[in-house]
Amino acid sequence: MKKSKTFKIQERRIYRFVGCGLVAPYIIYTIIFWVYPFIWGLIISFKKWNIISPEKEFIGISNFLKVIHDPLFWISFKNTLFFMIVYVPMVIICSLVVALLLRRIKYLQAFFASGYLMSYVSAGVAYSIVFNLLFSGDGLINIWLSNLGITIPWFSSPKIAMASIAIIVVWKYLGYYSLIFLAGLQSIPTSLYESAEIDGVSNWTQFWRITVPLLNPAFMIILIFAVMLSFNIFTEPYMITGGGPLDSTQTFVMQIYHQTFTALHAGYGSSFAIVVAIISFSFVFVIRKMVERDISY
Amino acid sequence: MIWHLFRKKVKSIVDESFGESMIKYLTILAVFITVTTMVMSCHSSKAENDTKNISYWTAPSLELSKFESKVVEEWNLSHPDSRIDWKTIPAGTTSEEVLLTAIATRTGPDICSNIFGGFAAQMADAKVLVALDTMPGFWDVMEKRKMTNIIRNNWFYNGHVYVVPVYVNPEMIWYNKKMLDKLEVTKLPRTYSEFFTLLDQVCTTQKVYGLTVDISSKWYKRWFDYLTLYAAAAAGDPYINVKEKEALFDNQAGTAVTEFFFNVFEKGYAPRFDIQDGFQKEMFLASIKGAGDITRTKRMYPDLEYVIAPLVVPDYYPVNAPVYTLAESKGMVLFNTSRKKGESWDFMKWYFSGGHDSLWLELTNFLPAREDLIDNPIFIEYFNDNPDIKLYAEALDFSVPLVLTPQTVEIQTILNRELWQPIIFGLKSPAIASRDANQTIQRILKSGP
Repeated sequence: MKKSKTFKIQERRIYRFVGCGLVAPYIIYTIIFWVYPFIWGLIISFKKWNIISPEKEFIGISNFLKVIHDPLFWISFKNTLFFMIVYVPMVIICSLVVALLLRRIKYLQAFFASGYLMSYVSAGVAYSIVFNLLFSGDGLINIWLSNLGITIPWFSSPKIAMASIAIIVVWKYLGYYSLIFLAGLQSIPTSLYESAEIDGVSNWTQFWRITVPLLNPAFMIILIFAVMLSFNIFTEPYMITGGGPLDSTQTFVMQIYHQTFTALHAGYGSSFAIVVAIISFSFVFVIRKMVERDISY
Repeated sequence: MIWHLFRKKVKSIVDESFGESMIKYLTILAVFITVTTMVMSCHSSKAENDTKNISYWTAPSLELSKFESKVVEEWNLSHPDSRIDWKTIPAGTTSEEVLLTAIATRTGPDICSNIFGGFAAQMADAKVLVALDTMPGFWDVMEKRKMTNIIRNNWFYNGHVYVVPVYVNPEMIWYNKKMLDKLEVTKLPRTYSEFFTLLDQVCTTQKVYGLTVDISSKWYKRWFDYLTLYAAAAAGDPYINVKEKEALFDNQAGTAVTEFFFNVFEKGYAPRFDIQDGFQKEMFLASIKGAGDITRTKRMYPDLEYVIAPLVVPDYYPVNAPVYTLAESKGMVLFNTSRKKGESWDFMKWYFSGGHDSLWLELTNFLPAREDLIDNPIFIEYFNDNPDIKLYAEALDFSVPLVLTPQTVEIQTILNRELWQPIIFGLKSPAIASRDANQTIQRILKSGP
């Protein structure tokens, strides 16, 4: 009896050891690449530091007050909201349409799905350069449009520059989000559609009454991804417009980068990042409260 | 209360998954890794520059690399005890950002080239640069390379010299020769009024644009348009009074230049969108360009014919006064973190001894920063073969460098925001744009870096 108890204790110890070993890589990774930089960022957000100097002067919450009073913070906020308004509906509608089309394909579905993923795995800098050439004043798209007597200042008009950036980002994430929707569509039992068919429900009603409600988890994931991305957008505006024209494509991350690595205000850049993180998490929290539903039939 | 509940919840999840003592193991592991990471990151600074050779970084440019590889090879052959490990500045958005990261992580070089004055001032403030004028034989070397006056007049920062300029790149105006010939233009414009008259003639008759202007809001782009014409309009006077911390953008010169660019866009002489190589593609009459553009243009657009002329000046500018220009300049610095300062300085002295400048010109086509380019016989043959570049060399007497301030990036970012972009889109009058830019820049100058 005693022997079996000792064996059980030993077995539990082995399980714990294995458990520790399994989670250790992730914990090590998280501590080195997330916890440590976060604590470091938090510390320097209360300091005035220019990265290269060993001196770090403690200045309390001055950096945070400066962020709130910085006109560029509010310009970036406005631009982010504008980007979100254009990007989120566009990417959700387009990727849902692609997912619905992919579901109808009987053969080579994986081939087409992975084809859409090509844009997702493309290097941001590379495709930004390509899009810049395509959409520029004398670019291919405008040369083609000029045959119709139209020229669109895609990146040089302050009114549409951010929307043009949104189009490029939609192109990048279309395939990835479509796959999430496709997985959601495939998890909906076909019996629901079959019984609806028997009851004489139209396709349109089936879409709104069965597909959309049961895709709620996929909608939720994509919505959160898209909102978070709106706060994190950097490569495309940085490479293509540099924040212009008239600061219409300035984003939070561009400001953080500029303040930290170009103007050498690392403390200010850190406090900027912390404020942006708080806003972005608040958005996600509110969206989850508003949209997340537990639906089952 | 919330913390207690949170802790209880975390503990229950962990206990459920792995057992009660798991949280203890994980906590110990987490603390161990955090402490080790912090200790290692502090300790790594001690390993900096602990190599045998001198580390030397230069601009990532094909032409410059051809020169540097030859010079470094020559040095290494004659100095086997203090060899140079040469490499180009690793790829990145700008050399400055890459170098900053290297300095911050203590993986930077002993010596670095391709440093502009404002960045050197930033690094000097952070005390990471050696004051080169305190090194033995500094002025002898400057005299040898005929750059004593250049250094004395323009390269002192806080009473010391932290960067020695390697080359200068003054700006002038290029005109498309074919377009001028069509109108039989014999005299190139000197003033803004004459310039606009010519633009008007060319743009209406030949359906091209007048002047290439970069509309982007990248801070360093203002060196090549607004600040260049400012140098001309102000007869070489600086745009910032560094000593008095005073911005000078709303004076007569500043307002005239702002008005000039306002009119360029207002009258449609420049588009409000970018056209890649618009001048070279013969879509524009004129373009402000540096000596460094000649080589690339010859290589990419060999059939393009152009005329190089001094910059245009405001109508009030005295008729017989020389026309100034702005010359971007890049130089070499020695880092305080170097463990081989003596040997590194020996290399710099040898580099600037003047013996390499004809090879430099031949391989790079950039003008060495020295006062005797036109008079020195060693350059005569080169300039006879390259008359376009000779025009730039002749303009060096009336070239002024960028203002040496650690706030260069901030100043030019504000210039973009308050003046440049509103002018392009006609949102502010020239006077208001100049005033706004001046007031904001003045404020940041007073508050310091």
